[in-house]
Amino acid sequence: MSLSCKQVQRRLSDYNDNLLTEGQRTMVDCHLGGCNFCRYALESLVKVQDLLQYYHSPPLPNQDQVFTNLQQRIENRPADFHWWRRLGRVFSFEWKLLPPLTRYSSGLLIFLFSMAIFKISLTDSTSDLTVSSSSLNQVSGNLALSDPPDNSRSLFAFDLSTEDNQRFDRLIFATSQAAQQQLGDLAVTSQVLDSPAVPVNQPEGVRPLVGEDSNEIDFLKVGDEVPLLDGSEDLMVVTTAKSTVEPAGIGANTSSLFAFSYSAPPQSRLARINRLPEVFREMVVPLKQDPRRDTNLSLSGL
Amino acid sequence: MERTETILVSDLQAGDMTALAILVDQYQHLVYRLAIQITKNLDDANDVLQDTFLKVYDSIHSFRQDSAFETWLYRIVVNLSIDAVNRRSRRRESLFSTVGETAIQQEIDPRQDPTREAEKKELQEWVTQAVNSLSLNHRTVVILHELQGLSHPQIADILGCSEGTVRSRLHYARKKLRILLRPYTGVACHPGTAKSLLKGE
Repeated sequence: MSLSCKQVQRRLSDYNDNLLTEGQRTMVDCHLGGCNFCRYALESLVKVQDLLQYYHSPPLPNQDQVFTNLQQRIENRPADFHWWRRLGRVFSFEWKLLPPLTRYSSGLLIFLFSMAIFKISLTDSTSDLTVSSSSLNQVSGNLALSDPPDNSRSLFAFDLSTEDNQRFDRLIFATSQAAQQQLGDLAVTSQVLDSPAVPVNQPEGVRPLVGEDSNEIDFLKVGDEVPLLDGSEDLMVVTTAKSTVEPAGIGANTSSLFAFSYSAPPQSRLARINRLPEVFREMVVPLKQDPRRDTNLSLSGL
Repeated sequence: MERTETILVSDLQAGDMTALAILVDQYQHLVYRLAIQITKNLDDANDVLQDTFLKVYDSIHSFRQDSAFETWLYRIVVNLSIDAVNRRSRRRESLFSTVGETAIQQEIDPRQDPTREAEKKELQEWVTQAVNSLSLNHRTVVILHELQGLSHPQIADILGCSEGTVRSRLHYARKKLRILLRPYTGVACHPGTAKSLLKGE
């Protein structure tokens, strides 16, 4: 089989470097014997190689200074450089030396780990928060956070007749101030109703709010604006309409904890939540999780 | 007693700075020449020269002597030079520094025959410009094979690619050089080849 000019030209470089097999070389030789153009191409290739000796590169200036400069650079490096160097060696580990299966498994593990970190950071940055309810002797009997809307807080109420709940109440009071300071956009009010039970007809979609005069109970409606406790001009907006306290339960020895949503964006909210006292942190869980799970949050740490 | 390369590397791994001094003295010309050929820039070549020996000093512990020190050194220089070229091209700075013409002009020897010297200078300029006009990948392969005399497997090892890639790059680089250096090769080129190559240019 004879080769075409194109095929020979493609093999000339390898022919010149003696990289062709015996059979290929014979075929190229055969073609070169009868084709002037390809023979000239080979000649020019050889000539190019000769001409490349004229490739000029300037000589190294100040050759005596190279080591001196290098020594200075090594000596002038910061004292903690060697620590970084050791760390660098871990990353410059020659992965190619590992068996393929180990290499690929390591790569897969690193990928999965990165994805998990990415998912966590994504959840943290976008999710809103809610305050879950306790199941300790609830007045209402049902504080389920069914379909909590975004950017909302749930009402929190419980009976003070038991010692556990009184202890919990004290803890909530003690931590609410700290929570207020650290979590500026989550206002918490708490009030013990020590007056005689007030019969109320709680309309659908409103929440009780204790006024300054503790004998009166107001209702907070959706869309109402409540000033923040930190004295700033920002307002919280009530977004949750669902009532979680039965009217009959409101009265003596009932403590209510109110938490309202705030219209500001949840910037770094999670970071601030993490600085809260533990008792409060347990109640704060990301929204968009299973509401049933939220209601079953244990307060066993109290 | 003259220390062999293996002993010098072992001594440097033990922290002997005189071993580094000897290695720098032995290889500084090679490193600088290679750096300037790839980067085409005097400043970059000086930086690569320093960075190469600094990297040798920092990474000598990871060098296991199962390959030649020279090959390892080549790999460092080539990688640092390619990084320097890419950095410069990202900054959109000119790659064509004063490597070619001015440096050649400084080297003309007045004691030689002026006509012959002028011809030699012109040829040097032409060849240098022809090689410098190749793409970074093609230029690197030509430099390592034709100017440094490295084999295909060695180049493949240094560049971290297959031997087939090296052969292919060398083929196309030579093809382009044949066209660019045609006034000096004095031989005709296949019309079809010339047409396709010039079209590529």
